[in-house]
Amino acid sequence: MAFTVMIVDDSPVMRVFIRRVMKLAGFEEAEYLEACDGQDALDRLKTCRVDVILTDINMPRMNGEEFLAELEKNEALSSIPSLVISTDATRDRVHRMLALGAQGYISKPFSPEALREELDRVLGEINVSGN
Amino acid sequence: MSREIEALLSMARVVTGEVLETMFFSTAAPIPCDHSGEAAVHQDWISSRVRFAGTPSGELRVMLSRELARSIAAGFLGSEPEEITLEAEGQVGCELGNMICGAVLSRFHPDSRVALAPPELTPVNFGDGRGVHQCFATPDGQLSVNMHLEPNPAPGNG
Repeated sequence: MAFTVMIVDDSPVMRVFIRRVMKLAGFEEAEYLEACDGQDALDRLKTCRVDVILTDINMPRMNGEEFLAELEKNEALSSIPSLVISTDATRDRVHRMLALGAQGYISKPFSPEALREELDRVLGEINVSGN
Repeated sequence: MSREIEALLSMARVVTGEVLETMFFSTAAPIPCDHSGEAAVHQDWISSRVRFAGTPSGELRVMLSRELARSIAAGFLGSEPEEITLEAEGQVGCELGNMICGAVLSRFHPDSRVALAPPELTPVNFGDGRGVHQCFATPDGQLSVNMHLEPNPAPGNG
């Protein structure tokens, strides 16, 4: 079964970049779903199963904090690991996002290696090659 | 130049270099500013602005030559320069400003509570003397960063 990643970011070019960096980080066989904000992501999650969520914070309609709060309220979605990818690395923001249920936090700028390390830490022993 | 301004300028230099290298697969070396030269006047530039509110408030502007915008967009997106659209150049220019602004604020004021507004394209403005300003040379053109912090409001009485 393919390893599926959901990328939640209002910037189309950032979504392309994250897909690219994920491949550079070794996730060549992963499949990707994209959402432009938290509400779009929740709508897609009603019908699609994903293995991990990568989310921005500052987004229109439903931002990353609101999105994580909604995930935590949903029994079916609360078990999906989530990582925040954001330019904001202030201590207060990081603390708030982790308190809302994010398992990891990556601040921009970041390297493919840093993304891989954080994903490995969060996902543990999941085999992303689909075997 | 005050110590805070010096420190902010130093941070902006470091962060700009890191962002260009890590996210855009390019390099940026600080250079003396010259916006009155023939090349600078007639070059086609892209400018993005990120406003932020909280403690502190202010704005950051990034100006880059269109040639550089196309080149770093290609690096960012993993495409050939000729495949990059004008829209993509602008979006990547905005992301560049967003990343530099967020990283500078997070390191300069790690305990702050600041909200960044969405980045936006703006008319080119190399600065009005407020805050810090630095030009950079990259392999494909020139980049300028301007950052201004609003003074902290005076404490209320009583």
